[in-house]
Amino acid sequence: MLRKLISAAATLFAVSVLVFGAFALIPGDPALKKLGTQATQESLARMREQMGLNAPLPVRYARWAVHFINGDPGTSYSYDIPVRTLLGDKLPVTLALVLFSFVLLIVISIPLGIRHAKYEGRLFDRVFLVLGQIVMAIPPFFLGILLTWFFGIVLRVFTPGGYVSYRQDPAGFLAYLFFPALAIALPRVAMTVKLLRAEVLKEATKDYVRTAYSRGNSTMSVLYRHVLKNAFLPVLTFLAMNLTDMVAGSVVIEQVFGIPGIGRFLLVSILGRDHPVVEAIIMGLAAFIIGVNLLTDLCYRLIDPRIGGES
Amino acid sequence: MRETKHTLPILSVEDLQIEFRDHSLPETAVHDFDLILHAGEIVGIVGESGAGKSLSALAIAGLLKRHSAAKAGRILFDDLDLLNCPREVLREYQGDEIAVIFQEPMSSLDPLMRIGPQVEESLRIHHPDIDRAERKRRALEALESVGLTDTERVYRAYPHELSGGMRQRVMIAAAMIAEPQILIADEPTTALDVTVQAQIIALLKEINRTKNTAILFISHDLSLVRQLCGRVVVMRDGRIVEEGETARVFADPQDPYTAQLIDAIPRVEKKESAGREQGETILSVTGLDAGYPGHPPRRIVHDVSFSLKKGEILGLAGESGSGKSTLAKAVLGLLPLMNGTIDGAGLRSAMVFQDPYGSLNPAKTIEWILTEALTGGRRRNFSREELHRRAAAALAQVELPESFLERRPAELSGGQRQRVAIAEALIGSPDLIIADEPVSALDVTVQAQIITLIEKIRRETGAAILLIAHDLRVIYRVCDRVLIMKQGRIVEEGDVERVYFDPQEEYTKELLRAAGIGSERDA
Repeated sequence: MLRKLISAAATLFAVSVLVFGAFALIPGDPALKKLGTQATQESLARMREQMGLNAPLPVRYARWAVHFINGDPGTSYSYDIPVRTLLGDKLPVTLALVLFSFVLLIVISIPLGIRHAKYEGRLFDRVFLVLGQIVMAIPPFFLGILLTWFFGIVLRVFTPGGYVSYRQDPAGFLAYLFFPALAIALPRVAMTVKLLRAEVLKEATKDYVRTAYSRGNSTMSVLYRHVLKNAFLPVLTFLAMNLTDMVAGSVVIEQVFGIPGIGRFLLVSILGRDHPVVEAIIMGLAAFIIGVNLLTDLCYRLIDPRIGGES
Repeated sequence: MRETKHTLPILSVEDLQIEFRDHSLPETAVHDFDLILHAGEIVGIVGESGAGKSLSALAIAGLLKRHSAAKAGRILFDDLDLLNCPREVLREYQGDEIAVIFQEPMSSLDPLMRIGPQVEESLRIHHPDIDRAERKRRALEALESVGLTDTERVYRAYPHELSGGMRQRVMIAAAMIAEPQILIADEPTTALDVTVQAQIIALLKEINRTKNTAILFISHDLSLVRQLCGRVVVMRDGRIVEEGETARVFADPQDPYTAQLIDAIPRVEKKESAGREQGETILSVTGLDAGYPGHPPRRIVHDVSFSLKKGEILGLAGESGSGKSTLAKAVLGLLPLMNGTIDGAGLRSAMVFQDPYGSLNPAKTIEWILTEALTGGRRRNFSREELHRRAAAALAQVELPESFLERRPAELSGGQRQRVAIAEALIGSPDLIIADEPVSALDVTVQAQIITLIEKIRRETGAAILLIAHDLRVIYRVCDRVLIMKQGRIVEEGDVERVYFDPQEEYTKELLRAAGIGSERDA
């Protein structure tokens, strides 16, 4: 596990070099951007000096990295506010949205996948397979629009655009996130169910399942007590890939539901060449993805006693 | 021998019929199956693959998938028809009154669940009033009663952390924890080594004696059934062909098939010295160490020396993990030598494997497979006619007609495939044939035919044969000399007569005893 941690740190370092290097190389002068085209050569030179742009690249990288590690990713070029403050109240929103959809994904997929396998070939199985195909084919943003229209405008279960900050009303905040989270989760639910169904059916032919039945277990308790854990192992990797992918999915969904997460902000910052902000977001995403992978590894070790130990 | 004091019938199967609509299983049908099981008795069901013995047992345990098989008849237990009752009712009895142990203790245990909860499961399901602590106490007790020590550790272990014998003990503990009236044992020792097998059989006997549990013992191994069961049912092609007291059936079989089965068991009784003329020594191995290279290299075979003469059949016996196959590979030059010498200059050698299913390329015809073995892929060096002639000749040596050249492996039976595998070895006219468990995957009657074939080949070709087998009866039947291996070393070596009738080493005695050979010899 220690080796995994070291390799995770190394990955993060490589990403940081890549990110910093890329932004240093692409054309565009931040000082010029900040002062506008009207600025004089002198004021530009002064600005460059002030922003530390004249130092050699490795020095600039080291300076940035040290600050970053100490929790200060710099100051936004566009707003002249510390990036930390800028992202401070947006990051938790996106994180909450992604985690909420992930919880939904798991809570819906597992019972549905198990039921599919139990009723293999019967009406339930066939109806939901078709339904799953349809949901899988709909892009999340369109699903978001459909959900907004149906639950927001027809049924009036929630108010579209009525976002509540988590600082004011945590419960209302989560309630508002429900439908956006659902829009992100649903297509993935369909995929996960399909995979889980296949894995459960494969496991169900194994000998230990017969043993479980021979002890008087009902089908449901055989499936939940014995089969699920075994069938879940291959699904775990798929879910982890989904979790990282859902962050990208949230960017679009935040637009549809008017949620002030980092999604919109990222787009604006990229267009505005606001390097410190973009760098911070990319580093954040990279850390998140690496963290998820580490967690997945840990989960495998927890579920399957045959993994780990010696390595 | 057993007095009929257990007159109380606890299970009666009447006119059981089973038919699978899809013929994906080796056993697809059972016809007119009747059986009465009395309290405390041990009944064996024997038969070869496809006989329907496991199918009948699974039906009694209520484990046939409901929708995939057509069933008729009655299975009466406790005035209740288990075959035709609702699932919920059947479940009350499964694990509580009728428990099952299976052939493969590894795959029959949930790999991701600790041993403890698996052993306790029947208790948890059928006696929810028993609390956690008491359940654990009973589980530890059950583990101890099947001869496991360090039960706390076993309780917390996962299946992969235990040996095969321990796993089967765990299975038995789990089956017995709710004190069922009937224990169904479906080939429970087939996957185990002989010494472990003997221990499991002893354990089943003890459970039967102390708890008065009736045992239904399903096996293809007649000698095991003879050791364990008071009564025996012989099945063939889904039907019962004979039934009766074990002693009577073995002494005086009524059905010709039963007689054939009993005949097929290789006997261990003094054979008149064949007085075979001894040929020259063609292979001599001295001080051989072998194993698998790597970091660190794994040394499996230690300081092995033996020699093999022309026309001699040398047996190599030992339990799994004793290094038999590693030694064979080293002799064939498939593994690097770590120490010692192998002297067999210019020896042509060939190998026959255990699994005739896996070792033949399913996509090719028998002719292609045989000629490939001859040419090693360089077909241009041979004319088409010659290849055909040599392939047909090889088939003739294993007593298969020339028409088989056109066939593919899938069209052959297990015995026929093993014959093809032997022909594949013979086609290059080898001086040495190494046969690794060539008959252990085969039914007894087929096994007997292949053994006869091996003897004929030795007579006709004069090839030396190194025969690896875990079955001591097979070795006695075929071999002139035997090497007994344990943990990579040869512990005893000699003429089979001498080793079997006057074993010097304790381990050899243990192996012979476990295979039930000593008792038979004295009788």
